[in-house]
Amino acid sequence: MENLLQVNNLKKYFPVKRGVFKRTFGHVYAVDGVSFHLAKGETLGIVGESGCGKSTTARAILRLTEPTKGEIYFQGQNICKLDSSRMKSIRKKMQMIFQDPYGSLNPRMTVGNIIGDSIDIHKLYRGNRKKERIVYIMESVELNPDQIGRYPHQFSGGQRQRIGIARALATEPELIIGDEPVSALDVSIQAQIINLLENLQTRFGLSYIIIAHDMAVIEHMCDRIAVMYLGRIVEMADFKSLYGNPLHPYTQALLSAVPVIDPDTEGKTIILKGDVPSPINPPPGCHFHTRCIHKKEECEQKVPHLKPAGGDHFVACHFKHK
Amino acid sequence: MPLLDVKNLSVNFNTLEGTVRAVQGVSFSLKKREIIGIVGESGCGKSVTVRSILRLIPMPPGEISEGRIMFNGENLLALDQKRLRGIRGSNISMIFQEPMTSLNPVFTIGNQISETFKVHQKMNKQRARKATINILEKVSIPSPEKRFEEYPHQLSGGMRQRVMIAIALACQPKLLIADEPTTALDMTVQAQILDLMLQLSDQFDTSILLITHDLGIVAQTASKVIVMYAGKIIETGSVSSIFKHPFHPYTIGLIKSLPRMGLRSQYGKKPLHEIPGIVPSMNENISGCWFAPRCDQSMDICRKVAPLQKYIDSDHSVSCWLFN
Ligand SMILES: Nc1ncnc2c1ncn2[C@@H]1O[C@H](COP(=O)(O)OP(=O)(O)OP(=O)(O)O)[C@@H](O)[C@H]1O
Ligand SMILES: Nc1ncnc2c1ncn2[C@@H]1O[C@H](COP(=O)(O)OP(=O)(O)OP(=O)(O)O)[C@@H](O)[C@H]1O
Ligand SMILES: [Mg+2]
Ligand SMILES: [Mg+2]
Repeated sequence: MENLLQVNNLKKYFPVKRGVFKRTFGHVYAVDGVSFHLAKGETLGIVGESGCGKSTTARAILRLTEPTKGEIYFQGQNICKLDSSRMKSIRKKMQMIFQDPYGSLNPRMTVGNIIGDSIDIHKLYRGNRKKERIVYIMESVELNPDQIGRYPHQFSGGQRQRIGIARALATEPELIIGDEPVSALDVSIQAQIINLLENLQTRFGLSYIIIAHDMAVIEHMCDRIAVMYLGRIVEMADFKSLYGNPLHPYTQALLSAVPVIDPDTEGKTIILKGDVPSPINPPPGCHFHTRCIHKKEECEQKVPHLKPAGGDHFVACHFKHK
Repeated sequence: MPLLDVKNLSVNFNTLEGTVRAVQGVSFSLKKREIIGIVGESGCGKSVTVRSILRLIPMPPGEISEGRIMFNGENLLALDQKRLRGIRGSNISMIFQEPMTSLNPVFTIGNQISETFKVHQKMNKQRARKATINILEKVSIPSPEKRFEEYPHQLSGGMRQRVMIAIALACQPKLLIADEPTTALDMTVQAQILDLMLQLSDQFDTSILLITHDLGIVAQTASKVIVMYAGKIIETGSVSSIFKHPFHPYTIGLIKSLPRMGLRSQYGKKPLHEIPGIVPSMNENISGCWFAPRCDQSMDICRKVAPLQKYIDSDHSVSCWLFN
């Protein structure tokens, strides 16, 4: 399979400034050397604790935030080197949908105008053809085209998420990055949106990167999953290996913490101690060592790198605990 | 005698767009040491129901139009605010989704917890300090002596929630009301907090009313479930009975529409079950069953007359014409 996207050693550091002269006295290591690829038509999931750098990774891929370091190849082209006008034409091929569709929709624009604006980026459709196109996209996301003149606040949460998806689809993208696209929705609506995203993927040959914290949603939607912890990928595998045979102690704890709805399943939850350390001064060695139940001396000193663990499975742990 | 007995509770909000019938004739009871989970779609009245217990809803626009809430043999709705405040904090504790709103930003963590010890367990300053550090340790707050001097904004969300649990522990309440206590937290931190709540219940025989939208959390922590839809209880029962044999089409749909871990690896990818349509707005006036417009089994009567609660067996009830 051809890779649509290839990310090499991506880093994003935010300076932390303090004092009257706003001197930089440290950095937030938001993304600290992340590499992965995405094949055409594939769905990659990114999971991990709040603040581990999932959204920053997504934003850096679209260059909504400039990467500190690293390479991003989209359709074989290193997009980090592109000037802003060439970047603009690439960006319509990469769209994002967000957790809170309401916050990202202009409240004073009708649905028709929101989708229409997005179509204009293409300059492909005018007049009647544009109107037809808007109706076609609304139908694709199962919105009633009769409501083309309504404003975002006149829709329910689930319908607003459909508007967000419609706006993303309008530029005819290859890649859609969903940053917690269903987290804010009720269970009964969540299923509708997940099914919609999957139908659209088949229909338009889309590739997805899905960021989510619900491990069941991730398993359902993603072919491969990257588990992040404090700016780094600690484990990456196809969904079957990751859920069937998690290798990193953090992934093991994460999966054990998912409450399953079968009341007879005895929870053998691994309770981790303490909190995620600050990304401003992350602990040396393996970032996870402060909470790891298997920690050894080596873990406090040496950074474990992501290494093959058989098949499509990669793990960054000195001991690959089973 | 149950610890808490809510009878026919109805709460309205009088707004410019009309009357929002947020809670309509809700009844349930909670025994000592029992943990009940309340689930349901956003806006279905879960928070309003539990907040009514301590009258923590703004009145106006809110109004408890009907009902009785017996706690330990006393009708809470008939108590004056002073008595109610006494019960709140000593017999009933509450934790919310965003602990920041219930912690006082101008006092240190240590100050707020030790105050609880001083008031409810009549400790002097020194003993209260010791007890506080003890309890911070118990809820896994690292370097408790240092944290004692810190303010709420200096803690992470998970730590703040653990402080709220520490305060609840200090009160040793008979009833803990937890409204989405882990929704804002990471999975691994959520597991810590739920574990702490169960310990609390074990140690002090505390009963817990747990609101969550996560059916998995209910299955793993509660013994009974209340399913609400549009201001009403539509089904209640023991956890095992509800999850194994749900009766109401909404409950069935809800359980079926959840992606479940392991299913895809085992059976391959299938589209998720969908409940069609959207939740009705609460200021609509629907005469029959509020779920009927989305129900794939609705009959003529469902759109005309609201179904009554019917007991299928001693601990499982459902409000649906299919069973009436
Ligand atoms: N513009 C910024 N300036 C400074 N720090 C930032 C900025 N954006 C993000 N960060 C920091 O970078 C780290 C990673 O943030 P990011 O939003 O990528 O996390 P996340 O994994 O998406 O978390 P969540 O699950 O909470 O959305 C955090 O510590 C965050 O505070
Ligand atoms: N102060 C208020 N004024 C007007 N309406 C209100 C007020 N508080 C709540 N409501 C309405 O009462 C209904 C029930 O709200 P409630 O907060 O109990 O829902 P919930 O089940 O807790 O939802 P969620 O899962 O989103 O927290 C909603 O329709 C809400 O809009
Ligand atoms: Mg994020
Ligand atoms: Mg609520």
